[in-house]
Amino acid sequence: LTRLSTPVPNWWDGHLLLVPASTVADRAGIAAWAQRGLDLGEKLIYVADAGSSSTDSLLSSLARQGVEAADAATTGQLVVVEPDHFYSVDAYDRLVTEAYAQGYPGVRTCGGPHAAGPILSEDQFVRFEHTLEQMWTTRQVSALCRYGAFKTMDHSLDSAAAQHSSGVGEQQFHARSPEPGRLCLNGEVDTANDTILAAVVTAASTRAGHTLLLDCQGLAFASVSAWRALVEATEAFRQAGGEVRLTGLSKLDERVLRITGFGSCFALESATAQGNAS
Amino acid sequence: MTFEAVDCVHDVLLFGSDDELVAATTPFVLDGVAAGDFVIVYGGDRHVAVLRDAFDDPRVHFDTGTDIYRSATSAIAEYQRICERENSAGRRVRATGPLSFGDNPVIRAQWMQYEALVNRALRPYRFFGLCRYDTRTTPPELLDIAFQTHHHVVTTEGTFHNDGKRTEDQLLRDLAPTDEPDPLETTPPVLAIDDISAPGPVRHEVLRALLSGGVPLVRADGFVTAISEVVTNAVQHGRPQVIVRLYGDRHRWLCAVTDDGPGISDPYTGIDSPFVGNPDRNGMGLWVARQLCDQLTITTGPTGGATVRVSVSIDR
Repeated sequence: LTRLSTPVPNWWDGHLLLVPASTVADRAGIAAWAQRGLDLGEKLIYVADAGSSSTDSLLSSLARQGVEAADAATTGQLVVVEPDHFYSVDAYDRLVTEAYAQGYPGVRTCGGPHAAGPILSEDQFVRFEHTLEQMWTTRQVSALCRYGAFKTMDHSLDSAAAQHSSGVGEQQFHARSPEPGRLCLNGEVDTANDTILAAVVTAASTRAGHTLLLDCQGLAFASVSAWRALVEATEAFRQAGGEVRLTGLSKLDERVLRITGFGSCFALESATAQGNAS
Repeated sequence: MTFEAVDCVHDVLLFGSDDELVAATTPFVLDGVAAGDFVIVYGGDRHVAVLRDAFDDPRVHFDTGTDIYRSATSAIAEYQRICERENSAGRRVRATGPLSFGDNPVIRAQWMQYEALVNRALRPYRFFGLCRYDTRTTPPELLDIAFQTHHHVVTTEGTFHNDGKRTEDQLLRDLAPTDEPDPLETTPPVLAIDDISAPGPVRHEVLRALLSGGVPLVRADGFVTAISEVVTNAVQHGRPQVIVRLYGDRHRWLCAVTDDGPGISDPYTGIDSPFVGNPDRNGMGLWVARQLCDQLTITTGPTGGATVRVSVSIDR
């Protein structure tokens, strides 16, 4: 049966890489991140950038997306901080420690290479990402890293994706790698975001051993361009002898893979077969 | 009796008895086996039983044809897939099968188009097709189409160059859909979406409308995917604005996707093989969309603007 009517699961917790395909998608992602934090009663720390340089401008942007956060700003639950108060291990640790000391049950931050640009070199930024990864695993700090329209970002998405264990994506599609060699795909992929899928899968293939397992159980929709992106993104891996296994496929997925011939590139396992096996 | 060894040959076999069927098919099959071709005999009727008895050879494949002849579009695409697979392995494809035009005038028109499209759609491939027409049961107007669309006429008397064959371009122009609106388009649209810039929101709204209209999920998902591919094509290759109109009744649903671009000059876009074996391959989206719905037509309005209509029957 179709999964098109299935909502995309919430993925706004953890160390996340937001790679929106457009400015609109970027704002929608920030709004979803903020709404999730407000719902959980967490402290929200946003690094000032060109898009939202002050609390007022952030509140306006959120309001346009239907997120009302004025009260949170008044109480200090939502704050906008300057990059130099955020982009060092000590500064970040201080912000987190203060937030927990204020009694918040959780902390979430939102930044990215554009905001860090004036403060950190590219290498320093990569090291800072390691810090964010550790802060999620040791202190449960959710960090949303906005890389802007990924086509224009300085870092390659392949290496950036490898640094964000909780997932990579945007509103319509996201992927998470719970372990090396396994990638769970969620949401919808079409021409608007198939390049994101390709980059994420390429990144996953560089960390996989002999087999790359792509769990499609949460994939509500994949266009022809999406399947083609999967074929192309895994080509080097397959040519080197690697096996790409697609699991949790819907009947429609299988039909499109058969029609296009793309299915011959992969080992296929339907959702039913997977259910029976488990 | 021998057959020309050119790359793509599409012949018609006329027979009036079982003996004639076997006699005329025998050299086609045996020549194929001797040449190392991939030989396949389609047909669910008793003719296949007759032919199976005649060619008791494991190198000859038999298939009921239920899947490949599900629809005219599916048949063309399936032949393209088989040719892609076999040609790349160094084998020519040699297939014979019956045409089932049926009584439905719309379906019948699709199969008439099919006979002309085979010549175009399989042109890049090493393919040898022999369509079987039973002269006892085939109506004259369909025999006329057979004469217009095949390279040679095969009978027990021999193989003859078909002087009645018309050029594909000419024939396909005559068989092309007109810009007349579908009867469903005279009813109020179930859904109207304007100024579309991405396929995602269209998918969601169309699916909601289909499910509300009682379309079973199993029919809806392929249809929505076809519409998504058509919208993607309009957004990428047409010009704003792109609009969608969805119509439906208890039996059939139709979605018309229109853009304000110069139009699509070739109403058969999405028929040609998108595979590697075709040096002129284009995008795959419309080709797949054609296979996920019952019918896909492309028309261009008098002042430009392409309209792609996709439809499904929910009675099937």
